[in-house]
Amino acid sequence: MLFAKMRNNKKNGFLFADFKQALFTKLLKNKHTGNTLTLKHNTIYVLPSKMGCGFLFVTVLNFILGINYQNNLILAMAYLMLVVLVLAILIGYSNVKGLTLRFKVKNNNYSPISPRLVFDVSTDKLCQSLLILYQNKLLHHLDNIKGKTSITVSLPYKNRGSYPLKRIKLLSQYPFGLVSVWSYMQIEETVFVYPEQVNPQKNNNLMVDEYNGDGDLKHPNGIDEFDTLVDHQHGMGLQRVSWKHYAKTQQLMVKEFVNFASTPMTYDYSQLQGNAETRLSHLSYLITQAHLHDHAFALKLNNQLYSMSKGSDHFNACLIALSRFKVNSKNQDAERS
Amino acid sequence: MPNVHNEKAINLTLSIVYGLVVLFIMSELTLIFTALLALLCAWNFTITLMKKPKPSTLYANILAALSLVLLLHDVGFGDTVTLFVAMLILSSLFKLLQAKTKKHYQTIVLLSFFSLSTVYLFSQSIIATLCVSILYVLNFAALALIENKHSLKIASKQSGKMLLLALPIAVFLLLFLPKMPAFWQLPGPKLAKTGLSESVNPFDIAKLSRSDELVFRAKLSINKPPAPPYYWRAIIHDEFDGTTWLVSDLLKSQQRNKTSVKDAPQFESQYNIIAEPSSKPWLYGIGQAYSTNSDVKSTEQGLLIRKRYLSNNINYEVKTSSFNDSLLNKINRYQNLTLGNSELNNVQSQQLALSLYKNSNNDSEFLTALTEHFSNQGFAYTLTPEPMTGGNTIDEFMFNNKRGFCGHYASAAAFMFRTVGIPARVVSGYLGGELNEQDEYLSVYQYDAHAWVEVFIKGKGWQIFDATAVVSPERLTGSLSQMQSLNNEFTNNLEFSLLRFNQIPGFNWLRLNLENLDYKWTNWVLGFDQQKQSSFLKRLFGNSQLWKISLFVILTIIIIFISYFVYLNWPKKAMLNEHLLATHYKEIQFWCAKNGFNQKANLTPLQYLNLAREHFTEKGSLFMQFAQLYSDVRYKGEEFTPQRKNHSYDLVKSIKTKAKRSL
Repeated sequence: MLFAKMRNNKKNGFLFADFKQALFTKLLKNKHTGNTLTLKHNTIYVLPSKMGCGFLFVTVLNFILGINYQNNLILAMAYLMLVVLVLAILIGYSNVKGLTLRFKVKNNNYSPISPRLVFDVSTDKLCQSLLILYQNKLLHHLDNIKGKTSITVSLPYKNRGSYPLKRIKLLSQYPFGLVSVWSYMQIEETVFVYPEQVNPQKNNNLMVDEYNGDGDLKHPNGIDEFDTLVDHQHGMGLQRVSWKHYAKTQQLMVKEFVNFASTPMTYDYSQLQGNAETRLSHLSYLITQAHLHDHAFALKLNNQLYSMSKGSDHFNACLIALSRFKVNSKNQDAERS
Repeated sequence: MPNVHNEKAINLTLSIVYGLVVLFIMSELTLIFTALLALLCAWNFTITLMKKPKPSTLYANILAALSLVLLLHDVGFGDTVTLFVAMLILSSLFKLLQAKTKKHYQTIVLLSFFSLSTVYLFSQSIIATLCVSILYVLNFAALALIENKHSLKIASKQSGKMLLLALPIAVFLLLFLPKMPAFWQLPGPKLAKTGLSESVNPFDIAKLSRSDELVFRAKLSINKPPAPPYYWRAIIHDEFDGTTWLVSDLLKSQQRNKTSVKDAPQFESQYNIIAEPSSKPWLYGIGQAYSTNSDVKSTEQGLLIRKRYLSNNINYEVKTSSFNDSLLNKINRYQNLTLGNSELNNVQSQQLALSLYKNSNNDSEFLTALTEHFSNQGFAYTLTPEPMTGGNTIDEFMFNNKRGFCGHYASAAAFMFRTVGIPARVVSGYLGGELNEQDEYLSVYQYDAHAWVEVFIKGKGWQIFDATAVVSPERLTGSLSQMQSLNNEFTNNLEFSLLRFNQIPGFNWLRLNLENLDYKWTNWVLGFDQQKQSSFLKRLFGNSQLWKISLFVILTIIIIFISYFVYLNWPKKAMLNEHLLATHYKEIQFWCAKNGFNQKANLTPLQYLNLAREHFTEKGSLFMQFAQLYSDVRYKGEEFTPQRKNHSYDLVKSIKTKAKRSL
């Protein structure tokens, strides 16, 4: 019974959230959608903040105190506080009025670095203490805005994925934190967090950072062509140990692979080892390296194929595909096959 | 957890605010508890300055619990208001000691808005009001600091500006919004004030310490002012236990009943009294006093008693008629005659009274005889009598010491009246007052406290018998402070005050003016009650209906707010960004044009200044200097330092002023 009730409650909660969402969409219409928002009478919302309610409560207390003790000074203070509250509403509204926020550009990033948005903020007068909130998290605090400034905010997304932008809230509690003056901005964009770049050979600890002068073609720590055998050292994984060699000589040797730069590569998700996220991270690293060295590459993600190509557009499309990649569906695919 | 931007400034500000609040309510708390609160303020102040961490929660909570125990022990539950205020301040201070987040600080600032108001429960003087107003500005500044990244200076400036703007509107509301009666009765704070007491025993007092605290002011009416001497009655003492005059239980019960006296048309005089806050119920009036004020009870004995002990000033109108000369009923007669067991002592005085009585034909003659006895037998008035103890203090005073203040004379005289069978009682109150001639009001201070005797003479009713007046007739007119002969003694007995410098004319002038200001403050600001408001509104609007007034108030407020809003959103000129030197250059141009140097507009500033130098030869160097400065800063890109800024100001000033001299 209790369980059922709880579930019911939860359901109600969801219902309420849905309802709230619907109400918001209906009330706000589409006036907050777009890449430019100018704060004016129909896009600014003003209400006393929590602090303002507390302030009002103290005002009422003072009023009662003043009335009951017939004390003019306390009464005057109560009126004074009330007037200040009203003035704070007027000042708070005028403070943000006329402010224009223009969305410039989005910067997607590799996990765990958050994607960034760049805005231009401009106003024809002084605007003080403006907060930019996203999902109730503070993105940016602008203390004084005069003329035109550019701001960059990082969104609170750290994990791989594609995120359609939610409503951005602009909030100011100037001058005393008594009133909340706010507005929304809905940008119709999606930001991506690319998979973290992880070197697939990282665990064999043989990363060589400097570039070998001889032979531009040879890239150590590749995965494609066998190159040489080296001594196993403590800390190396066992994946690349040449067991044939071990059986003969009782000596642990590790197989070294190289990439041949000129070789156009096809990176295939299904050919990589590890769980889904690890594979994606490896792919992310590989295609990024390929792009940096200006090699053509192709990407195969289960059913999707990005054919051999070069250039930023291709690279970005691949990264976005990696960000969008749904792990669950892949598992099912794997099972089916 | 949201960060707090200006933690240091907020902490310092709030410490100062609470420190001053503690200072103001200090007189109501014990020394130990005041010290504790002050220590907490100082602690927070120091750890903020020294950048030390705040005390741990556990430690602070233990301390808070201990302090609470001290508070309950020290203040007790007797005085709920003081207890409440002390608790509020204590908790705010501990919260401040532990505050870390934005929310904590906001709570504290909110609490202090209430704490600041409670200061007015205890003190409503101009100085207190000024100080609390400054604290309000600081408190708002703290609020702004929590929200913004400003410095304290800017925040205080902003909040000061805001309050200056809000104050007239608040005053307007106070004046015009109809005053409501109290919703419910709240206990008043028990004020720690000196004053009269229910018992009079002068004999064991060696030095009468008196304060210059104001007790009340009396505004005498123009038509029927009371005639001096002003005997302001407050308490009747009708019971004598051998050493002390007390208020009998019988009298207390009599005073509980409301008097049946109607608003008699044949009153002799009329006046208004503005009494200062007091924790005692007694009010003041002359003779058989009667007041129509709803907060004042008039007793059968002609005394006035305050109905609610509020810590406020009270302003009431009094009408005085003469005492009833009808006969005393039996109970009253007994009440004012009995000596109880005290008949066994003070035999000498009793004998003296009886022998004087034997020589006089009636009660009136005895009264005269006693007066003559006091004036002829070498009695003297002093504020520093020798303390007397034992059962025969009256004898000792009457026959050995013969030096005393009003209490001695009143006690002795009332005792002797009762001995011979004339009903008598000791009355304490105040005598005289300092007349402010400009505004026609009397100020009565604690040091004007007095005690005298009322005797019931058949056919004449109650009469005042004041032996002090016989001994020291000057005391009858004016205030004690104006008496020349006692001046040294008087000022020595007084606690430190401006009155000490009474002899220096400047100081006395200052004191009287401050006094006058305080009177106006008390009368017009603190005493602005329902009655005054309605007469004020009547004077302004005539007999308009209430809704018209309300409409006026609402419309005015709305208009004020709208015009402020329009002002806020008015497009501002872009003058703000102009360089100071450019402004100065324009000023110079303007001045030159005014002094007959007109040039075409298409000149560069340097060309213009060069021409101007040639035109105003006697100020040539000034123009040259300005040109140099202008080219350095505006063209060569050198820094516009404060020195250069000042130099520019000075140059502009001297270019202008020299012209004035030459004119």
